Amino acid sequence: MLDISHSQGINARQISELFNSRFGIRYNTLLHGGAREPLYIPADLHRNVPAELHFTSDYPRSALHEIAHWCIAGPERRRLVDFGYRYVPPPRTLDQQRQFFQQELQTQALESIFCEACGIPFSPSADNFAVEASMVLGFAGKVAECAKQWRIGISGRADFFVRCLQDIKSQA
Amino acid sequence: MPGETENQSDKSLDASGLLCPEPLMLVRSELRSMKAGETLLVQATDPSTSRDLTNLCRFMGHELVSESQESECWTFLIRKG
Repeated sequence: MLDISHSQGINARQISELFNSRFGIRYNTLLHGGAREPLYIPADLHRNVPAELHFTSDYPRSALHEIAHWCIAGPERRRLVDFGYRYVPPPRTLDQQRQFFQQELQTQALESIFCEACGIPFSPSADNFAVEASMVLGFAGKVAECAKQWRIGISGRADFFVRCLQDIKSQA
Repeated sequence: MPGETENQSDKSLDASGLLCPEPLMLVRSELRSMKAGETLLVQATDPSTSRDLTNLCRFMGHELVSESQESECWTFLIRKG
């Protein structure tokens, strides 16, 4: 069922199949690719529609990033569109960019753990080409530091998903 | 008063009194039945609707043409992309 190419690592379809088979029914949430921009839409309990976690195009990194957001969000945030975060697109002021980094720190750190588990190269994202290199480097250091904490204290859905990714990688 | 804007929109949806994410669900469903270029006027009272509709428009490629607030009432005009 799983056809892993050694050169390309895990692909987005495989990540979707993995997420949906492990979490889909239990958490009433389905991961979808192909979006122009990512979005999380909570479950519609009135109409019996599961929550939708959309990632960009067929990008494995985008899928892992959105899954990281979902793993970090508790039950309250999972009832909100985009987990209650307002996305501020570039161009951003310096303050807005700092806020972006702050909001993204935990998520990108967990994303790096997911990437590591399935053999996809990770680099932190400023989501903004206009950011100075020194600021990106500073953020990269914080993400790496935060990832160390994740490795020590990872639990719950995030921990389970890391193991699932490792299983797939070891079967390749 | 949204009256003048309402006359200029193709459709309108009153989500007043509903809590997020319900307004987004209704807007999404309404937009599905519309043609590209048509406009939808939305009224809502939950402040989170602004954030939700901004994110929804970005995701679906629609244009949030305008957004205004009068006391506890928000009015949005969306053009389907």
